[in-house]
Amino acid sequence: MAKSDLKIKATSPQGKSITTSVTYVNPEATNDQLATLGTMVNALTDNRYDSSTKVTTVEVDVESDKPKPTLQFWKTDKTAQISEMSKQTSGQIIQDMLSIKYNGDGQIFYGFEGINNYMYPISERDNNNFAIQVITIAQNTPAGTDVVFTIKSAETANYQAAEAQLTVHITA
Amino acid sequence: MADVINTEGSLSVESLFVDGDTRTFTLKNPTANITTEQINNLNTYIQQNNLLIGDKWGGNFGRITKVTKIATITRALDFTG
Repeated sequence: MAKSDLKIKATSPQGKSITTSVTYVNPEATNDQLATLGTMVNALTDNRYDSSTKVTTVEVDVESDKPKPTLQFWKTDKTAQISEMSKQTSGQIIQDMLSIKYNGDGQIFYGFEGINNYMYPISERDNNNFAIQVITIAQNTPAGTDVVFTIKSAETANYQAAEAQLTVHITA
Repeated sequence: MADVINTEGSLSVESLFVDGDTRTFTLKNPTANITTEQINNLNTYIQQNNLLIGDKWGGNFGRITKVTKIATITRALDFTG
């Protein structure tokens, strides 16, 4: 997804400029929204160039105390750990079925980190277990490759976000 | 020439996105008295207007999780004389 940066430039009475940057800004944001965002961000900074300004270290921590959900890869009624898949499987792609165990109430994404970083949303749900064709690897993947699958669950009003990984070793 | 000590301040704003990733942007020269209310108002405005998006599919903004003011002190040592 495209993103852009909002740059907020301030010039002091002495003529020196300071630029503050807010990243990951939605490129579809309107000018009015950006102006308001810029004003709110400016209020958090000192736009004066002043060598005598003293800065202290302060943390404003708004971390959640919501529980972390269970999020795991499952195969044959147990937690799936490192798995091996053979390239002898016929067809253009190698496939295997795994389940995902999740006791939260948010959206789950899975993807192939290391090959690309595209995360696919999972929509099927059956008693907190999702059956999906999660292992799908191109036949020309070199033997000896370790493919890392990642599942992530979104934060909800009741649960924190969570992440789990499964490494699949491609054998000859 | 004597040693030169330079102090710079920055504000690290860490946010959690719907895709589960944490993304951070940094503001220079933070003011001394930042309040929780200011951060909460900023968080609410970003959420309500969908102003921040991640760089993956489904990476909508979730919420600001941590704001840290950092003081960076650099010291240029003088080895002359």
